[in-house]
Amino acid sequence: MKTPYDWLWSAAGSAECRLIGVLPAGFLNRCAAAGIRLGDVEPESGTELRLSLPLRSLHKAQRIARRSQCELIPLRRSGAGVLARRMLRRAVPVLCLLAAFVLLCWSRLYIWEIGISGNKTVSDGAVRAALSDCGVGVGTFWPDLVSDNLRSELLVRLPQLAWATVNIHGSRAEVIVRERIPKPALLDEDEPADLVAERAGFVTGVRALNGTALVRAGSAVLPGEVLIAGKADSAFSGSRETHALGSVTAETYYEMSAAVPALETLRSGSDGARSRWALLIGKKRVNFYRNSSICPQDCDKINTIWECKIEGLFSLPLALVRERNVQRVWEERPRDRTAARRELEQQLHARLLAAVDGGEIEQETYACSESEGRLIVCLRARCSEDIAKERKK
Amino acid sequence: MREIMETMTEKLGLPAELLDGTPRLTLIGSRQVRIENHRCLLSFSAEALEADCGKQRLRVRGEGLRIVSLDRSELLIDGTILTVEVDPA
Repeated sequence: MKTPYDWLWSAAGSAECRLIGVLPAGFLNRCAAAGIRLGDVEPESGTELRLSLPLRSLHKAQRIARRSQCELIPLRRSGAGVLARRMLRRAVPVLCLLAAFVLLCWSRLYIWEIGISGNKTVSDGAVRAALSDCGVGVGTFWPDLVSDNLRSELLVRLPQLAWATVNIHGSRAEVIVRERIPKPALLDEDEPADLVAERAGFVTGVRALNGTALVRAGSAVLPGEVLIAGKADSAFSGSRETHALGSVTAETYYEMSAAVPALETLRSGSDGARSRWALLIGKKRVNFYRNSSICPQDCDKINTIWECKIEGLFSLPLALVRERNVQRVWEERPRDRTAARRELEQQLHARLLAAVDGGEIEQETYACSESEGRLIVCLRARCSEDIAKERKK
Repeated sequence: MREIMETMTEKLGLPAELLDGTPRLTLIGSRQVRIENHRCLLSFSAEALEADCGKQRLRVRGEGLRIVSLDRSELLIDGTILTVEVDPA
């Protein structure tokens, strides 16, 4: 059992050693003469001793041992200094981990990523710019933000928005917006107006709700011709101005065409890929290359970004960027006629649907031809639609 | 000079330990022996220890002997002490 004296001896710093030599007593005498206080000297055999000595005298004792033709082997070091060094050695990784954890927690208080959703006509860039004007951007300390104020400021800066909110998830700011629905044009029934033909056609039906119909079924009309006049009989003045209302159904004819080159240019492969690396730290970019990163002609720039984040958990303002410039190689070859024709027909059909706008397509025929290195598809269609369009007087 | 001092101490009846460098041996039960003012250790094992104390040579015999502390002037031995012999050098 260790005595308080042993504890004090250990705390001061001692080394437990084994001494091997023919005359260990000589070593002990020399150490005593040199002022080295020895302790716990236990003989193990005639030529071996186990002893402890102050740690600070270990090197001196080893020199003495060599002079005494002995060997002093340190077995164990103890003491406050040794303990502190050992603790420090173990503590450094723990402290590093702790520091990383604290850094991570601290970084969560800043916005490092902004996600925008719910916008259709307003671009992400416009929302980001407005947010930036409101003081929200990458690297913003989010606990300083007041959600209500931010929303109000955002709506003032972007009048196209009806509603907006900013939710913070860790280091990610999620901006959800709802766009304002435009007001429909109000019909002013007191304003005098005629209904005129939007396009040429043969009238198949007239339904005049207000005003005087000037055409009847079977009439041929040209664009801009008045179909229902904004006039009504009056008992006092003969006629009076009114707002014409009604519909005029007509048989209309469409002729459209679309063309594509008979030869198509396709990318046959890539050549000479070159990688450049950069580091993104917050808003700063550190390039590990010289010169500019402007892509040469006929070259694709492919950026790959590895962000330091775990989705939904944390995000750090650190990202590694690989920028690859890949040279394009082109090849010209004849286009597949069937596929090209089908594609053009689909395009024309879509255009026709947009032109008819609610009308009915009664008949449509497609014709395909090739001329001057181009594949041309023509559409002829007969439709039935309301051709009346309001025109103010 | 030392002989004169020894004679004077003896004649005057003064304690012998007043003389500087006089070896002193303290036996505490049969567990510990403290030797002060020793010159050097001559031999040491778990059964016996021999120390040079100038005019005397001390020999301690026992079992499981171990040196608790050893410095320039003092030697503290621990173990089961069986005999302590003092021989003139």
